Amino acid sequence: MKPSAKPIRYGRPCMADLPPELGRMIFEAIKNSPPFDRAKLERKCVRAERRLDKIIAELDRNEVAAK
Amino acid sequence: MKLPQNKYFGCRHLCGSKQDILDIQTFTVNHPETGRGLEMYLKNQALGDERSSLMRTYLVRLKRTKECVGYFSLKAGLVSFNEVETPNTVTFETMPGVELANFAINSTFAQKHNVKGLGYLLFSRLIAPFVQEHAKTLGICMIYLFALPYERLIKTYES
Repeated sequence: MKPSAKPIRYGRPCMADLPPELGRMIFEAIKNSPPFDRAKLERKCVRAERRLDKIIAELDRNEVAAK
Repeated sequence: MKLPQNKYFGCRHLCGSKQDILDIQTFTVNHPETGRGLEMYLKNQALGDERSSLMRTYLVRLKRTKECVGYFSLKAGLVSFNEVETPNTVTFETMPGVELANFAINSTFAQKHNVKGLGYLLFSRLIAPFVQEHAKTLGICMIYLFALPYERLIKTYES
């Protein structure tokens, strides 16, 4: 079962069949997670967008050639 | 409600239309660790969860060809912390968020067009802005997910 399938147990919001300590663990994990590298994500996105541009351009060329 | 879209992608709420069914049937996830579960969810459970409002699933299509690029599912959630338990009471604080419960790229599409980085692109350009838009009207301060315990998978999400 997914952790959050049963959102309320004993009147306390928690993650269903997992121990209540889980919330604290998740909170700590969020606090201690490594800094988010936005520039790296952006580079990966731009690379994928360039590839999509090429795919679309190729489709357009094929469409024109077929006419 | 405005669904996420940009120059490349359009997004549609899963509704069981003819096109949805076709896309679901041909959707593949070749990821060795999580692929089967994500594929099976879309094929067997997503529509049922839609009907019972347990989850909202969105299909992402390339605008130019209408091919299905991927899907993601969102549900509201929260994380409790600072719990103090006494014999009669429990006090705690909560942090509201949105759970990215399922997120997969269609391997059929990625392999056909030999394109990488679609997961980063969909998350950055569609999912995150979509949740940010909702955060204007609801208390949302994070997007979170429960990754399966595979190191490679966790590293991907951490990056």
